[in-house]
Amino acid sequence: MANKAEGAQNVEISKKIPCIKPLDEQLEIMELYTNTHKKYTKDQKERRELECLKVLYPRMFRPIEDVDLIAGRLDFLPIGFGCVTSLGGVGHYCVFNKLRAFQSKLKDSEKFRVDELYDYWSDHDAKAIYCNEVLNDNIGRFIDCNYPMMATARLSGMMLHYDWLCELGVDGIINKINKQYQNNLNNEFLKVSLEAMELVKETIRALAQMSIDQKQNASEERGKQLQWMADDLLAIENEPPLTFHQALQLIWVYALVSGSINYGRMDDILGPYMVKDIEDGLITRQDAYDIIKSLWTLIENRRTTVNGRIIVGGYGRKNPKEADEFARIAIQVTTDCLYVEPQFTLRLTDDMPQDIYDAALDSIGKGSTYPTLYNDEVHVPAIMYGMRVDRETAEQYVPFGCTEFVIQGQSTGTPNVLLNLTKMMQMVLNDGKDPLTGVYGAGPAKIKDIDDYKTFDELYDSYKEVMDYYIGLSIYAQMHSYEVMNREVSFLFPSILMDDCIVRGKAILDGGVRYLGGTNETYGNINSSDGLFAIKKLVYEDKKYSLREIRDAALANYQGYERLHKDILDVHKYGNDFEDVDNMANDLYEYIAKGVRQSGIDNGMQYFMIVISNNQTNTEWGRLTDASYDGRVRGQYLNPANNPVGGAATSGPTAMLNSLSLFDAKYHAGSVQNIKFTPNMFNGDRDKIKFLFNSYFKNGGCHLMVTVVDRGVLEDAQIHPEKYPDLIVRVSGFSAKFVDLERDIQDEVISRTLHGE
Amino acid sequence: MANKIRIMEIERFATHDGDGIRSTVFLKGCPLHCPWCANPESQEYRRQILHDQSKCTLCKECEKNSNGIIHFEEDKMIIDQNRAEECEKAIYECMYDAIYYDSEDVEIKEILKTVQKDNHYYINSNGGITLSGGEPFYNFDNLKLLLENLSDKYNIAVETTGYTSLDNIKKVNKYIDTYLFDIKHLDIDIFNKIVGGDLKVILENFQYLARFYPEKMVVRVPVIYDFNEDIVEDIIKYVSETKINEVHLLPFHNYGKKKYKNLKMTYDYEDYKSMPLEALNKYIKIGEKYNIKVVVGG
Repeated sequence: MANKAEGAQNVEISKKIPCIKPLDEQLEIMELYTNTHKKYTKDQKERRELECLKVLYPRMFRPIEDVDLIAGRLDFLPIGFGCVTSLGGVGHYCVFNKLRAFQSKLKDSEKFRVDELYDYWSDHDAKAIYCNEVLNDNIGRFIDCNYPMMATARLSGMMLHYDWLCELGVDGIINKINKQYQNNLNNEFLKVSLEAMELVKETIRALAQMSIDQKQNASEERGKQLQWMADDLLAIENEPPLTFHQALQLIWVYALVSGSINYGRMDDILGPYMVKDIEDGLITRQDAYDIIKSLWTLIENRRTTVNGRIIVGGYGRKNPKEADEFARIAIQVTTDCLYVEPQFTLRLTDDMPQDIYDAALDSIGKGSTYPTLYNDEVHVPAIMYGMRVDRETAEQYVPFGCTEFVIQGQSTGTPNVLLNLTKMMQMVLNDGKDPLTGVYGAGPAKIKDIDDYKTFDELYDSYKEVMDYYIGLSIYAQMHSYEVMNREVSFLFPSILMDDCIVRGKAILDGGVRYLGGTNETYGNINSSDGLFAIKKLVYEDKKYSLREIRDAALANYQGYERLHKDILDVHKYGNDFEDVDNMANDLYEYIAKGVRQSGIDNGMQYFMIVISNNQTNTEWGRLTDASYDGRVRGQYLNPANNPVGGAATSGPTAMLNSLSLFDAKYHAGSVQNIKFTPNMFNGDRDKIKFLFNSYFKNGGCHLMVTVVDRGVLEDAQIHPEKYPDLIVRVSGFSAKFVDLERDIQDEVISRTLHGE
Repeated sequence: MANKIRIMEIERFATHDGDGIRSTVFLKGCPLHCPWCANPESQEYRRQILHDQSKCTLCKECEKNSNGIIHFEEDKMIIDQNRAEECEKAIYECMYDAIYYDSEDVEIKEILKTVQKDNHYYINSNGGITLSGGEPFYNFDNLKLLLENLSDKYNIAVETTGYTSLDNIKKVNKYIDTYLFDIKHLDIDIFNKIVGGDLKVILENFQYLARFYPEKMVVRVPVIYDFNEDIVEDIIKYVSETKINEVHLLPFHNYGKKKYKNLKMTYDYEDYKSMPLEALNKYIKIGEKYNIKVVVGG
């Protein structure tokens, strides 16, 4: 019995590490989980959640590896509990295609047991419920790229108040909850939260025991490490951590059980512990490096592909000096490891120490793609406006996933809706239908006959009406996703460490979170604006072609229309600092950005804003988008974020950066600016690169993700992948091993302008 | 045609043409013909058509649309470059961008419009505008017009062979902040034989500038196989005898190779590989001997 939530649910490039438990035990756990879930009604969602979590933890922890200095590695089953699709699933989840794959490994006589699970979860998986309620002809599930809009239920990007956790310790958090609970003895959320913290303790004890058990087969030196790990685990069972290692261990355990996969401002939280330990002679700088490296390895091994954010630098840190020390070592670890995760992020300020900036550029220059650089001087005021918060709050912005912003500990910002602006434009020229699927998608927008668009403005107005329709669908889908998730779960662990859940006695999506925010991913922005510009010029200004001819040419994938195709391709394209076409891009950007933002305000959210990024969805959606009016052919990747279409930026990096800094950051909640340089230019002319970047940032540039690579290397890696196991590139909102990417994604990355060639 | 300047390209984010981030305006025309020249199309002042065979499909639409100015003998394209200006239509009709002009006549205000886009980069890096080519002094009226319009707004560097009248130099010296001045050789006969022109004129100009404006001078020596690689030290010594503090050695490179093919010009350095930077490192110490700073690379 197929259901709407069947099919690939997520972007997965990094291969996950398979579960270590034998198949029959995995099945047993999934059945126990399911039976536990069955015991409770929706009215008992808090209790149900905790009892189900008890099935998973600490049982789903796998053995500590020899390289680990922090304990905590989790396996995931096709059934379980989580926040995001990149690790497990959302709420009480069932990943149906993975469950089927699991079933195929069983003995025939056992397969029926999975059928029973499948049937139950078809009605109870949070996303399945959501999809059944929301999906229609125009809204597809994530990631079915036939649709002009995709929607999903997930709670991505939670970055928690780990500072509370470290300051108060487990008992301190319990006291905090208890204080509220004593005045609210009827409050089930608070009551169950107290018990949830006991589960944290139990998990800590289990990990300590695991460390001790593993001593038996370990060398003497490793045995000492394992003992140290066990000791530190027991030290944090109740009390606040006293050392760097203890603090990190506590954060790690909590992150795991809470299902959060982004960690936030670790420099500010851990820096003071680290510096004190080094000053007191408890650890050396090398020890600190080793511990951070262990954390990096653990994050990498979670293989979320698009998450794992650790942020260093920026305004609003309580301990900037100590935080900077942490950052210095972390940059070193990043350069040495060359992992694709964590997504190591550096926030830049005018007053930051130069050596940290230089070290960051050195790391980038070695090809690590990290850190990715965020300009606080632009983002902090932008977020004050966009999210309608004061400066102190805005300073706590943290990018998660592919760049979406949240306020650490204070807001949700999950991107549960995705829009394909190029498909929408195609509808305007095709009687409201997506030419590739034939499905009508323009809603109530007034679509004219192709010959009746007498002016460019008439055409653009129709397009705006289509976008308005989808903006309406977006806010509905986003808010409904919160409603569905809230019906099913509380997200207890994340709620406990978020303002203002405990004080209000409510779960995150129940009215507990201080700032209810969300994001909306947009795709094909530049293909659309370049297309609008080409039409404006060729049809309405030069009157060289009719709109019908352009439409027909695109439907024919430009075959038989070579002259027209060339004329379109020769028109100015965004990314080259041409005022005319860049202004078109900005106009479209502001229309959709402002529209989405206003829809959030009108519907009671703190903020709902677009992000211009992608998790390679620009390529996947491009495969199922017809030829567009900027000359892009059917099936070709859409442009990545608000970056020029691959190969269109030919006027050098200053021109491209001028184009990129045109969009006012205050209307979005995250955008990614990719730029590529040859090693020769980036390293050989480093001083000039620094001038380039500094000027760009001063001029309003909000962000940069830099890949340093030789074209020859990329092309060779396509032919001889075995020679390049460690080659990393920045795809868009994430980095990946080049050889793990599918061919057309590789092609897209190669197509991007390489400055310095 | 007044107020229009014949330029080959405006290169933004030029990193090897002076201090900081610069935009380089490449002017057409040169009185010399160095066989290793990386911009061979610059040597002629007339506009020419280049033919990129890697993009050409031999559809021969250009032949049909050029009144015989472009024609084919079998599959070999022949272009009457003296009449290249008349081939706009032929170039338009090429669907593959396989033929193109080597230059445009651009109005001053358009040049200004382009270069000013990077103003904030110049300011933040002590950069500016570099005039290059070809030889910027070749069409002196163009150069003067350009300098008059740019110099009050920008730091100006000029890359020059030095082969022009001293009078010309004096007329525009006030507009110029830096000369990137080439010294290719010291032997008048060899120079004339290989490169053309009168080295004596160049060296006299050099001595004038070195005497009165040494702070403006950055001397550049392109080090070329079979031409001057054996006299590099002599050139260093020669420069060290002036008040100039620095000489830059630029290793031979063959990045312009494709242009020769596209222009259907013979490239004497077809079989030579680019010279590695490291080959010139030894001259740094030699420079110390003469009390002059030697910089390898631009």
